[in-house]
Amino acid sequence: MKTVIARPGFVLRWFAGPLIWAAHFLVVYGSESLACTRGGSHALVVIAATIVTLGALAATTALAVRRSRASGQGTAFMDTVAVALGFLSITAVLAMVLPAFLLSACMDVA
Amino acid sequence: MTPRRAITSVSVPVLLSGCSDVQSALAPMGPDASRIFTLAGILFAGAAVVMLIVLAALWIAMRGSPDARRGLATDRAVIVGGIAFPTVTLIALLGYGVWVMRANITPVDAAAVQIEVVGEQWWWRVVYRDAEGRRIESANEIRIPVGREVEFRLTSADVIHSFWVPNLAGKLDMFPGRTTTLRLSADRPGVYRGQCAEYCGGAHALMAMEVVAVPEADFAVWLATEAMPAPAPVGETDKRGQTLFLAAGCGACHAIRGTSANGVIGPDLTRVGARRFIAAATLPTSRETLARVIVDGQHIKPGNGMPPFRIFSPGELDALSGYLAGLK
Amino acid sequence: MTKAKAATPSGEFPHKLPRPKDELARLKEVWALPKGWRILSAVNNTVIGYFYIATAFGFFVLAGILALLMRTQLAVPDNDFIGQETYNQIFTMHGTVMMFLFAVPAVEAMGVLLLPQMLGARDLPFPRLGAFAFWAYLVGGSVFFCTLFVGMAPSGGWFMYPPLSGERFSPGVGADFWLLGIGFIEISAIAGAIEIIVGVLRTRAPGMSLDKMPIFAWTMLILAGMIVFAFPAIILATILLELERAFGWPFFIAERGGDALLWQHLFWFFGHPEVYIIFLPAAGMVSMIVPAMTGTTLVGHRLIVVALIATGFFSFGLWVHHMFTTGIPALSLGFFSAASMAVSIPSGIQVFAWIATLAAGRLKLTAASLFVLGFLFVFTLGGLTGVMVAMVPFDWQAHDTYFVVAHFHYVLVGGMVFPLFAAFYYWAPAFSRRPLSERLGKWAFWLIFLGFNVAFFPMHITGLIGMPRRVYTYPAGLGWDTLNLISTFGAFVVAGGVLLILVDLARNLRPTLQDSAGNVWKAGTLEWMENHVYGARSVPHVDSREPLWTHPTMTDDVHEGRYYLPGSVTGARETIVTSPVEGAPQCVMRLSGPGWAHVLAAVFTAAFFLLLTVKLVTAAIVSGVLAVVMILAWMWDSDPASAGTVDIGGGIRLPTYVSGPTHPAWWAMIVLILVAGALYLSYVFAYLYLWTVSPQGWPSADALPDAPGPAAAAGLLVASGLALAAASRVLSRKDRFRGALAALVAFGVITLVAALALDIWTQWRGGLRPEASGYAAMVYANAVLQGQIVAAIVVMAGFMLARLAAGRLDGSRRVVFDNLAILWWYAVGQGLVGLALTHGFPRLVG
Repeated sequence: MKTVIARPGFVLRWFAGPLIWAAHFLVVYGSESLACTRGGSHALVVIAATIVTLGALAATTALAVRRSRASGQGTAFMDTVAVALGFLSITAVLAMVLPAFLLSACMDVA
Repeated sequence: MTPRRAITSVSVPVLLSGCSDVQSALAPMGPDASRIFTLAGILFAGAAVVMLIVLAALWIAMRGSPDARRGLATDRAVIVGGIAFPTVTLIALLGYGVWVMRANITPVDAAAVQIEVVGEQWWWRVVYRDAEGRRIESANEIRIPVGREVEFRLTSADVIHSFWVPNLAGKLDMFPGRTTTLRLSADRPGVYRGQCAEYCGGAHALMAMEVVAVPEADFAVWLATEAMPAPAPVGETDKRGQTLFLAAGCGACHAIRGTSANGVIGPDLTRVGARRFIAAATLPTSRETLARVIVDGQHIKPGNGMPPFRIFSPGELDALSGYLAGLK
Repeated sequence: MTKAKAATPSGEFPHKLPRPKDELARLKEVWALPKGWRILSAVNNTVIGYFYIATAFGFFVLAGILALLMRTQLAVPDNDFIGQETYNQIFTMHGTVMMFLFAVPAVEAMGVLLLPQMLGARDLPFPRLGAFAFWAYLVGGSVFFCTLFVGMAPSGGWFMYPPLSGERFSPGVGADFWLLGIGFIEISAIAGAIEIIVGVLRTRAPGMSLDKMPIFAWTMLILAGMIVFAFPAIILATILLELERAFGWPFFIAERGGDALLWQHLFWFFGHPEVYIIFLPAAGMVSMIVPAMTGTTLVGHRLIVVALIATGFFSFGLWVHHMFTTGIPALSLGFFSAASMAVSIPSGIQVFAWIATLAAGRLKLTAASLFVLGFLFVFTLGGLTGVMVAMVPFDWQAHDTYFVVAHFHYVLVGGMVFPLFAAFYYWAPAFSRRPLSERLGKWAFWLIFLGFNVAFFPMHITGLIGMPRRVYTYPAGLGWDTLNLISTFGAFVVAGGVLLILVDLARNLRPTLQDSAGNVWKAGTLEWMENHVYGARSVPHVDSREPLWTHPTMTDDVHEGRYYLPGSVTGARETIVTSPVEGAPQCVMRLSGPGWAHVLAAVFTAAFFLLLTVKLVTAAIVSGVLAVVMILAWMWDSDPASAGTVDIGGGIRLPTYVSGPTHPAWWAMIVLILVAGALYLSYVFAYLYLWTVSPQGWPSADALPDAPGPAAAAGLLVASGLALAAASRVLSRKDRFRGALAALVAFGVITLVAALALDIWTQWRGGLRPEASGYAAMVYANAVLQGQIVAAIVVMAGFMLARLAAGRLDGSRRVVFDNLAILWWYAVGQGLVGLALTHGFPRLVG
């Protein structure tokens, strides 16, 4: 039986989807409060962050697809889990930017 | 009547309409509340449909034909029912919800009147401004003109409160050190009850208020009257009442414009007799209830800032409460 | 004798029969429980698990009684059954006790009881840590609950929003009991989480790779991971609020540069994941019960794992949906609304996977099955109302009304209590001489299910027609009277059902560790083998998700000792440590046995916090010191020297001493670092948040202390790190340089302390006082956080030096040093980040 000592890399590899989602979330939400207090275009940040995020998610998910076909039996399971997590994260990111089409930053809930 | 029918005859009216409508999100009386009501209707209908789908799936899983059960017992069924279906419906809902939110927060026109409301433990300080920007203060009863958007500027003097008049709009919290802004309007004249919706300690349960929507012309007249000093007492008892009010030190906390009473701690009493309720919409205004608040306020609203005043003889108490009830 | 093939890759059993005569007797002797009242010193996961569940269930009953008192008060309008202040205390305690003293401990308790059995381990990896967590919780929780009887209970709501919970509006000790008591119980929860993470990842049976791990273990792993990242936020919040209450540091006071909303962000960053922390393990129980009751494997197993992981992550992006009415900018609300939608998809996956499994098999309609079906109904309904309140405009109406009360009771009672009762009925035969009564169980189910819906369904309407939460009374005539009366009636019906369960437990639950009723449901997972005090006689090789189905004779083979480690090879309690992904055997770890030090440590830790609450400072300090002494006493024996290599059977020889990432303690320490890191990140968030709210409170560059101060502090930190690196190298090169090692460690610790002291002194000399403003308080809070890590390092370094002097630490027996080093490296890093934040950030933005 081959022993795989779990390295931090595994966490990044298997949970890349949700971790990238979290980073996108942080940037998009955090930059709004910055934009509201310090100025600057929030919409631009959202667009740029989302393009980068979707690119990264597509890349990591594609990589996970390849790995799930190639890797040994022990980690294959987790690589297919990573694929599904990637797709769920893409959905979540798309849902996340939907409100940005309808609302602009810093609108008061009057 | 069989027992079964007895149950339905009690419960159906309760479920459908057995509620009085003065503090209800299900009886919208303004555009904001109406949009949310429509949204709620769609959400309830949608939830009912989804619930039925899930229950039907559960039924088929346990009692269905072998073919149906085989179809259900696959990863594909999980993906369709658990991922595809919710993703599509939820994204559609999200778009609609955000659209309603935008409609509710977008101002329709310039606000007809701006009203500051300060949440205090456990009452509402209400401040209008006249044309020159002078404060016209009142408490626990807010008048607004019908059909015009009104802007509330909300803040708090102590802890967090929440301003909520469900017939007219959703709620908005009131923070010390922050001002939040809520715009709403009423479609029809009427009295709409509101209540503090953020737990604010002690008598949170008794921190209510009323919004009285009146035609715009009436509103202007009312505001002009409200801006004037309190009416001078007429008659011996009322005069005695005023003397007692001033001599007992009530003015240290309460203001009655036009007299030397100018306290800012408690509610302004300049036109307390004209308000429908006292003690933050807890008791109907009358001589008797005013007397009770003076003597026994700690039982009506435990922990409130006003100590019991048991120094008055029955006659004095009557004169004092009579004077206050006459402030219209 | 069976001729079945073994589950090992070779198909051969690791051991031949018959086993040596005294092997089993020795195993029993090594694992023997203390007799009589001394059972309190036991550390076995089964015993502690029992205590743990019983205590949690006790708090459930107590908090349930509080609920009945509230429902009685609200049965009719203008009721004067309970007064205002008492009611406010009761509803605060109901929420607090249900969340912190019932729900989280109950799911952790289920993990403590079930995980080792399910994973094929003899015990959890740190038995005394688990026992410590339990005792701390029992003592702390009991005292906390009793404050209610003396009228000293908190009355600020379970969410404790400042300014209401601040010194000015809650001057009594009630709020302090909440902050210190709950803060302390959270620490116990974190201890439990560390135990669970390491247990699940490192003590699985050989061959149990992640894909063969039972779903319940997956949920416990994710639950524990979520605790690691969520609880630090509330711990930080309680630290800040207690500093404000005790010393006037104005973190939440708007007029002095603080902000009330900061608390809400921190609280809900914990509070929302908390809901899933409670729900996920319950879902895990359902995923175990459904296959057993239908006799078929779980459909969509992989998708469920995906759903669990996704829930674990997405649930951290929802916290603001508890703050939709706070006036936060609309787009932010939109983001959180979207994330709230996203998190419901994983729940949808699970619901349909369970339905699919029901379709694949035939459900036996047992009491446990009924509770599972009830769960599906109630939880789905709660999920649907959850989608409603995730819609921002709808929430503007529903928030803080009885609609929300209905919603989260559907989610929490549906999502956690129903599965827990199902679990009672399902797993009782594994740990009791008799199963629970099916008849009583079914009666209990119908009472609870119907009563629950009668009580809580009407509340959806009560809320929408205007009734706010947390009101101790309401006037007649608003249309709420009948609905409230119905709800009260339903609540008492639920109570009747719970009473039936209590009767059933009293009549039929006969705890045993020898002759349990056994696998009455014909389930397929390892906890259905024998549950002796040492777990199973031998540790099987696992090659499928339901090993008892794949290998029908496994229970007997295991019992006869044909699998790994059929006795004690070192003469001590031991368990097999396996690799986290494949479950490949790596070493045999010796476990500590019963003792009193950890019990006393728990009692003194609880006493420290509680005495601090009532401001008996001297007594508190004495207790605190005693607690540390007890912890050190318990740790003294915990790192035994190597006993060479041992044979566990099947030709597998394993070391008995390892260090570095192979040792479970390394993993525990890494998890602890994650906790500390999450705590510090919460602090960085709080600091930056306060800055966005009131940037005018931040000083300009010339008002800050001069650069040489922080530069010198940074230099000291670097020196400390260098000393540590040198010490590590010296330790690796034989034992000749013990004096040099001790000197390096001492020097490193002194520089670490000096860096902290210098930084505080620099700020103080610059005229900054913590009570002056929100900014100043934040600067000193950084020192508080660094201070607690440094204090831990001082104690651990002293401990390490003592072991060095006693000859219990050398170049190979070095786990104590390695653990110290991990925390130390972290402290150096956090110190440098802290300096950059408090001195650099204001210069950057100023």
